[in-house]
Amino acid sequence: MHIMEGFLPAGWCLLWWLIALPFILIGTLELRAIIRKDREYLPLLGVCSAFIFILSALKLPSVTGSCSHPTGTGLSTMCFGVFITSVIGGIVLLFQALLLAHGGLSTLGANMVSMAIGGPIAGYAIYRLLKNTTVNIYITVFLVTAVADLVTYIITSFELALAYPAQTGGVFTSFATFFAIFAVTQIPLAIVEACVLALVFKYIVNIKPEILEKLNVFSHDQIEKVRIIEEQVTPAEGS
Amino acid sequence: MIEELFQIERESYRDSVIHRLDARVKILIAFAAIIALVAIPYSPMIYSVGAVFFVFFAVLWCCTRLSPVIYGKRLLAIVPLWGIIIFFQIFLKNRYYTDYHLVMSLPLGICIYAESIEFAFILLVKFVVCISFIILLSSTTKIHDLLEGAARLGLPAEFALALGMMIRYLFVFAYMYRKITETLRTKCFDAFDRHLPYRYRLKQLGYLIGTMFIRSYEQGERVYTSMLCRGYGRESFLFVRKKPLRWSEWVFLSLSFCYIILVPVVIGTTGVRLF
Repeated sequence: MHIMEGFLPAGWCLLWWLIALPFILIGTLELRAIIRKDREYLPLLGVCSAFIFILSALKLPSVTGSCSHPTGTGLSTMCFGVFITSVIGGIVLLFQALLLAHGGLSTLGANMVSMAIGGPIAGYAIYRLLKNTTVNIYITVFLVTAVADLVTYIITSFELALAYPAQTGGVFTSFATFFAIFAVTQIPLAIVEACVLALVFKYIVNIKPEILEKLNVFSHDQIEKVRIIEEQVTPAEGS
Repeated sequence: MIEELFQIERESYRDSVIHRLDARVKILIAFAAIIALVAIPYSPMIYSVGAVFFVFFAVLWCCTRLSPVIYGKRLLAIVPLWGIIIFFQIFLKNRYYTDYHLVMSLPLGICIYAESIEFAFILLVKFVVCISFIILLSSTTKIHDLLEGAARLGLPAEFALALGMMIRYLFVFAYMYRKITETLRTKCFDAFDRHLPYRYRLKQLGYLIGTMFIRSYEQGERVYTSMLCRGYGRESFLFVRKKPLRWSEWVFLSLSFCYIILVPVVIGTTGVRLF
């Protein structure tokens, strides 16, 4: 959920823009280097951006009865890392703000910090921590997505709390209020999104695992390991 | 949201004075209006400025020859979620006021204050007027014109290139999504059908997204190969030819800027209040 147009005071809009800019700058430089080195990445990047856009347009049913959309940044973080994800996220947010009026131009900096930078950093940290361990890749995907999603909403609540601190209790009370509003729908949804993305990875591993190898998301050995486990489990389920 | 995307694209292909305006003019006017509204301090002055800005928006919308229902529908699709956040403001005290006057006392120590209601209205006015200008921009500008306009206004080449690529695939995926969901519908699958087991619904959704990812990846590879065949190389960048604004567009842009700048200044300095 992006902070809407006109919601943040001008000072805070500027501050979040200033925080987001270095990430976008480094991401753009990384992107330029990648494009110069291997042009094949460019269509893939476009594909991923469009995929994230469509993914974030897809409504998921939640156990609480509400529905919301995935952020999609977990997938991008694992494929491209933090900085390029910040550029992809920035592009998607800009496009959503201009075309669909979801989010906003003045609040783009704040939305980038929460969705395209903060969430992916937390997700990427989990990914790096678990990537070369014996932890099942689906659990890794689940944790990366759930953490990236939750951190996005924690940062969004924090941004709103800083802009609108409560008169009694200040930023902390305000943060608790905003997070409580988000938590009702977003905690179950983060779990749902993480489950769905883990299932997406399961599907890709079964149908076309070379995509994950090519993108260097997981190693050949890790993918083979889960495939062997699945092959062992599937006949047992059938019998 | 995907259906909304198709609807917006259809609207942008209509013809009117506003539709024919250069995308840069519309982008700059939307930017200017948003910056002006965001920069106005949280005071009842926003009611007057918001009303005058909304009249400006309404005049422009009338010139688009689009139905007000379209605007209403798009606004209603956006407002409810953030409407809840705005609504919650009436229960909170904030730093913009020092004295609070109790309007209503509810159980569990919850109170509604006159100043909190005023603050919620200020937020609502800012939000609705800002969103209105964005709706105007997107309803009257084709996606490719938007990209070209942004590139001409100085959007970095890498951004424009990636954005162009995204736009290129966006509708392909949207059509793909439609096809897959239609297929699922013919199988009587509804992700929101509570009669179906929750795990089953999630699994189907996961596989649907997985199918889309694999198809989109393969599509990306095919497109890249065909681009290489057409001579695409290391030095290829999005080409946007130079296009100076017409004098009528310059006049319209200048008058709009004057209006957007002068309205808050005049209302702020003279203290004139419409409400």
